[in-house]
Amino acid sequence: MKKTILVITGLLVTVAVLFVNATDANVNGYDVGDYAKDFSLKNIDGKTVSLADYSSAKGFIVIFTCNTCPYAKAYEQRIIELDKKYASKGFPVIAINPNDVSKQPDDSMEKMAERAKDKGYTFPYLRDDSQEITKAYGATKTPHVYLLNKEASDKYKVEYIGAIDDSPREASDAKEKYVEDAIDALLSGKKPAVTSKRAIGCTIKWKDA
Amino acid sequence: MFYWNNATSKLSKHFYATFVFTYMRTVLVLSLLSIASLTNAQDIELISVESLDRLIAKKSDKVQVYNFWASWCGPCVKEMPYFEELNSSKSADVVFISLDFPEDIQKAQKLITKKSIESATYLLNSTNYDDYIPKISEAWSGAIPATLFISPSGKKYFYEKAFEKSELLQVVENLSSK
Repeated sequence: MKKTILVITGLLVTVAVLFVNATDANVNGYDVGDYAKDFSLKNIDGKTVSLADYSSAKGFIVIFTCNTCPYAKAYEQRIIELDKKYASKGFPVIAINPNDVSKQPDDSMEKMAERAKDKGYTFPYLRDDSQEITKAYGATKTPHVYLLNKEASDKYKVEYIGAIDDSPREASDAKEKYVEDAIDALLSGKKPAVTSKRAIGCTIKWKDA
Repeated sequence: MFYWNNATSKLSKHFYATFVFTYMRTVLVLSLLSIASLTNAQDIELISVESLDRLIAKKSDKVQVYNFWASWCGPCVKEMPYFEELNSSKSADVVFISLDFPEDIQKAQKLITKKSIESATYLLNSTNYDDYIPKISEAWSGAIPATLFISPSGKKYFYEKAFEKSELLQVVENLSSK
């Protein structure tokens, strides 16, 4: 009898622990200091892109963004400029559109390709159709930046999470350029002083469960 | 004589000006009144982070609902009528907090008027996001729509999501006894 109770209790605890861990990973995503997983997502040109494709990169500016959110649009030019400034220094931009197309038709692959062409994107613009990568990272809104430092092959440490700078409306009014400051620190072998800053954005359009 | 003439003309000018002023004011007041009678929509007021903190700390017998929205946010605008209904049916005290840029207050006002919102409405007068977002809730990443519920006993519940009507009613019902 005692044994049965022990076994049952043991099982319940195991199940509970597994469950808690599973939901934890889903809800919270990455914190600064965690290692981010690589992905294989389709680009607007039909090819698949992974972080592993960039053998000479020192890190990545992964940005969850979209065609439709006014905040994402306000930051679009600044995202293009981040890539122009930092891709050659080893930190390219990888843009990921997480929005469910049935909820937001203007975020379809075709519309993404149009937008990228019109604006002259110099970086991949990927779709996370399953939304698994978005959930693994813990992105909740567009735009939402994850700055990764490549410590070794397949070791991508999250160094900064959050906003691009402190002025969504006007690029020229920005007093603090969080992402640029963090990359500059990494490039000079230092730890970023600011590792997370929150900003307003549009909720990711999740698929119906 | 010359002096006297000058004074009269000054005096009559003064009377004329007063008359025009009073007339214009009456017209203005009447036209404002007629607009107000067409709609009872609220006038959006700017609110500081400190005043919002104080507002949130206020006690109520009912569930308090603080809905964070912006005129540019589609899902926010879609769910507004559900919140407005909670307020008009007196099942909760609803406050709409616009996160439009302070200089865009007219865009927010236009929406409040169009949607005939009678709940309290404010526009948060701050663009220091990283300062106020965690003050409202540590759980808030900054995505909108987002809603803070406060139960009658003062417990806070934060949701960073868009609501369907039935779901919203359910949350308020559940919290009424908490």
